Amino acid sequence: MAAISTNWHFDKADYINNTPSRRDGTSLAEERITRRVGMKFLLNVSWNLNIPQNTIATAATYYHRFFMLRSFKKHHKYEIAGACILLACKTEETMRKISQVSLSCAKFARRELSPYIKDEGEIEAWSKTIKKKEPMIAATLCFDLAVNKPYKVLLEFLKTLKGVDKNVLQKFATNAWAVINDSYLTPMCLFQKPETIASAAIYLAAQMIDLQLDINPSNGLLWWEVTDCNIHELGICVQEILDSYRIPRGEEMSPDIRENGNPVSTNLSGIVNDNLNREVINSGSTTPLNMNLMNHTTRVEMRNGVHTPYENPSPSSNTITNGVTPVQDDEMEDGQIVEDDAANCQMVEDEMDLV
Amino acid sequence: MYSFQPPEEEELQIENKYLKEKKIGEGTYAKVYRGIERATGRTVAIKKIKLVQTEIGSQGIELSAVREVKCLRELRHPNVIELIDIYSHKSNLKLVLEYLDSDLEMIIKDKSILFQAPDIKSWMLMTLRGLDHCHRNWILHRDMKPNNLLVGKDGQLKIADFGLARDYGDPHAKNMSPQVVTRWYRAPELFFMPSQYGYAVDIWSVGCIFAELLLRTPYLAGESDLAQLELIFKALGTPTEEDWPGFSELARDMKFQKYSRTPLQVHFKAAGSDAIDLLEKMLAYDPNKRINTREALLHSYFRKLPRPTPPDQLPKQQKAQENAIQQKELNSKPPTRELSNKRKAQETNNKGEKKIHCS
Repeated sequence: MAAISTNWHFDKADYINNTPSRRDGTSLAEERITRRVGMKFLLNVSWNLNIPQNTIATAATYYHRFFMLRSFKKHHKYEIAGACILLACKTEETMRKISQVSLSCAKFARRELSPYIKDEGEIEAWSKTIKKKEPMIAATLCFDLAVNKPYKVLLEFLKTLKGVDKNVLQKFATNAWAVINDSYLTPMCLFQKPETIASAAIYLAAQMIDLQLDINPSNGLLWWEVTDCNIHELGICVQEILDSYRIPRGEEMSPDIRENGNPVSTNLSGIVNDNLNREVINSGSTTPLNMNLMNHTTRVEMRNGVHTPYENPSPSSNTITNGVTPVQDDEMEDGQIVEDDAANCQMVEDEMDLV
Repeated sequence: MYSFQPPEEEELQIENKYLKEKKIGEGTYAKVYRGIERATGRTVAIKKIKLVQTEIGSQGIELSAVREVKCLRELRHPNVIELIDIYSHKSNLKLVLEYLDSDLEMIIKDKSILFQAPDIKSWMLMTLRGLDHCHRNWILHRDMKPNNLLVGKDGQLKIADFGLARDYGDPHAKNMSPQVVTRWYRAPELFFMPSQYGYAVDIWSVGCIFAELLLRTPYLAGESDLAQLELIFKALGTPTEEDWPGFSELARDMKFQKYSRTPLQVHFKAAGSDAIDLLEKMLAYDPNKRINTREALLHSYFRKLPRPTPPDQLPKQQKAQENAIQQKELNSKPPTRELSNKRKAQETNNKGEKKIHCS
């Protein structure tokens, strides 16, 4: 059984040339989009079920790992995403009923979003599918259900930060947390260690609010030594994260998104960069990031020599549509996100109280 | 590099690696079969997780199975049961585990076996080593009891049944269920419905197991939750604010009879002062003051003479394993007199007269 290996670190070259989907004739660009669309679905369902971010990250990791071993052509992204959520809820002890998960899946899998689903059969079918897929996913993942995530590294790092103003620290923590959340839209968790992703998030968050991370006075270590991370890998990871925010629109927008997606209003086109990744914005997990960082975008650009769009369309922009039905769900989604972020902040705060 | 077989085929292959022989036990969550690994002839236990049909219907893979798999994949230690293989079978998991034919409960109940101080020390040492490994991997067992401490033919004791285990040390660990641990071994703080608790709950259980080994009978066997708490207070004295800071806050709605603390030495006449000291620290009321696995392993009890018995020289149940297992299934009726007499005779021949238990 290949199961005994607990090494889930993949080579990036394998992802580019040698995934099961690639062998089934999917191009890299296609796979990237499919992964993202599936992830977006996973996030929507998770937010709808009010699942904590830690569990979402576990589900996302399962999802990305699964599609390194199985092809998108043989397994539908939504079905796998739904089953991953159920499994992650069990492993992270945040139980959700299968009926709840199926209902949410049925809701978001539809082309036209409607808050109520009357068709019991559809939910029943979802629940049957999820039940069938769940053990298969667990077996494919070699039953390695415990996942290390960057959040813990980040929280540990925050504990070592002393003498920083509480508000600044709060902002810093929230930004770093949001960067980690966004990293799950790409299969980054397959190539980078949790420590590296956390450190990259720390670096970016510090850049955004112009926080100087110096030698840590308590232990005399440089900050990336505190998080136990290789500086070379850190550089690559930072670049990867920045790249993930600027996937060209043409590549990004698949038919699925165009129909389900949230149309960005025309009056924002002046602000919103062409390279802007709408997925990320719509996903909302960047909301605090964007709000806090609008004024700092330029600085990040200068320092990194890369263009990073951090602008955020205000929630009101959702109401101006391109003649498409205004989507009720998006409003709800926004509410959900705010709640989610609030919860995150609370979590970070709690953690800091412990320091 | 990666295997790309269809999963069903792969699962079937794994299933065919093992030959199921017969059912050896059944619990609330699972049925256990004895089996043989075809290639090596090694005896294994196959645990089939039951699908529990509740009013909300099946929830996919059972939570207990997920917990057990998740934890056991992370652990490898001579005193923790080994997970050999897993396969899924019709939306149901089957775990292939190491096969051990006895458990500590059977040994304690088997009155034909005489315990000596070094034997108890040896079992305690193995239990604490296994538990220390779990705790150092941030895993809370939450169901420590003699029944879950399996003993192999070579005398090695292994912690089993991780169906209630969960990882701890996760910074977001909140809302933990207080409905864990078999009542007799449940730590007092759990009766006050906390949403957060820690490794100390396992230590309390080990303390109860220690006491049970010394007494040869369950130490605190309460009939109900409240009776259990009453029993704990009776045995160890009702805690004061000094024993357990925050106790009066926890118990503000409840009135407890005030019992005064009697020294443990009164109950455990045969135990040495080191053993009593360790037991006292394990059964400390305040979870923060309760000893942890590291400290316990470094306790003078384990360093002073007599040395713990080597595992292969520990007293064992002599024979009739089949019998013993059936016995376990039938909720552990005492062995028949004839058999126990026979064992006793054998036992007294083998061992000295020094008795440690007071039954």
